[in-house]
Amino acid sequence: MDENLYNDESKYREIIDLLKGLPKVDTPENFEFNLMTKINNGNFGLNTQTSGFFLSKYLLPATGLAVTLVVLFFVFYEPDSDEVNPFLKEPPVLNELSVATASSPKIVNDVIIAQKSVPSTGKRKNPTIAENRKTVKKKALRVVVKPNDVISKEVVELPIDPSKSISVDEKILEKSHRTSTNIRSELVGGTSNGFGFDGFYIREKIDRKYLQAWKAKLDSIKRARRAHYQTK
Amino acid sequence: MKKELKDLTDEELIEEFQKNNTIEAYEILVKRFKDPLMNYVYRFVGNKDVSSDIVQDTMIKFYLNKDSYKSFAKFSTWIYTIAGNLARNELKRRKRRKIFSLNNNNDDEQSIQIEDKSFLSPDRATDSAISHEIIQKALQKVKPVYREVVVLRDIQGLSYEEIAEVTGLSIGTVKSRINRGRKQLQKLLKDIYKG
Repeated sequence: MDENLYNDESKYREIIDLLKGLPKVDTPENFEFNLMTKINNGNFGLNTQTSGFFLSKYLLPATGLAVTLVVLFFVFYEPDSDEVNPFLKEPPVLNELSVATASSPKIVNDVIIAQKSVPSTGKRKNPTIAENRKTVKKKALRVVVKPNDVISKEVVELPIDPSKSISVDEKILEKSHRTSTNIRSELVGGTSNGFGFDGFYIREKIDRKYLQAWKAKLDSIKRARRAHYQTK
Repeated sequence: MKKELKDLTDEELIEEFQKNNTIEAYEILVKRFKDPLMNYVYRFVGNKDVSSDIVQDTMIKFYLNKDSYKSFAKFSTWIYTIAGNLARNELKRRKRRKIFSLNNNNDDEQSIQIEDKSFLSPDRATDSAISHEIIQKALQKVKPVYREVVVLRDIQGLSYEEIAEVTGLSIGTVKSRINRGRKQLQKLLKDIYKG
């Protein structure tokens, strides 16, 4: 019964006859000669194998996969949103930095009351003295209110680079012996640790009267503050 | 009295070739099977030069792998299996080439539309050479899985059991594929045998 289901040869009799009537195709005349020559010479390279077989079978799919992976990486990759471009980030303000690093319980006033520095001899006979001078840290006093309402003053080291700052008091009293050549050598030679080139600037001659006027103003403010705190 | 080599059966010849490496036995087998294989491969693949190469490769494979033949199988099915595998590989390769190629103008299978009525004028269709050519073209349009079994059955005259052995399919699958192939072919050739 199964055989009848599939073996429906009578239905396709005409097709079968057409196919049976097709002429037989024979091998070329030199077929055997070529074959035996190949065998005798040991030349067993198959005619139907192409050199591009490996390329088409393995390399092309592998290349396709690699390209797809690269494309998918760029399509689906999201950079970490927490990352901030350092060039777009504003640098912290110096005052904020000093307040943040101070370990006082409560700072009510972070105004610098006085600046003290290690007095320099003004002579450059000994190179170690000059080194010491460079590493001097500027110090400032800070008014701090502790939890028991005791007001105290604390000495705070400020990260001020002496090579880049100027003490107005010293300048007026001519205690500073820095010359323009010193500054230039620091700029070019990079002898200071925190060397940083901020750009060119025009050096102006300092007007002594102008500085004295500013000093008088600052001293007046200082005195007023001191009086204010003393009355409290 | 010892039989001559040419009087031996296929299985006896391959046994002789396997045991004593008798090249004459190999040559007799080549002589017996080269044309049937050529006919089968040509009707399956559709190109004479390629078919000739495939048959030659089949014979080389037979020479190199003679020991892989086991005596419980018929030699004819074994050699047909080798040729069929090579022909199938060739068709796969051709299909791949077709996918990657931008220009398919060289493919003569596409050049003639079988159901083109203007091409099949009655006087031309009666010409046997042309009708054979049309049948061959129609055969190439049948799906390869159906074409292979139709060729083995209706052109080469193999039994269903032999075809199942050559193709590695069950007899039921072979029969259904043959019928489907014939049906496709009937649809393609209706203008010839009805005329």
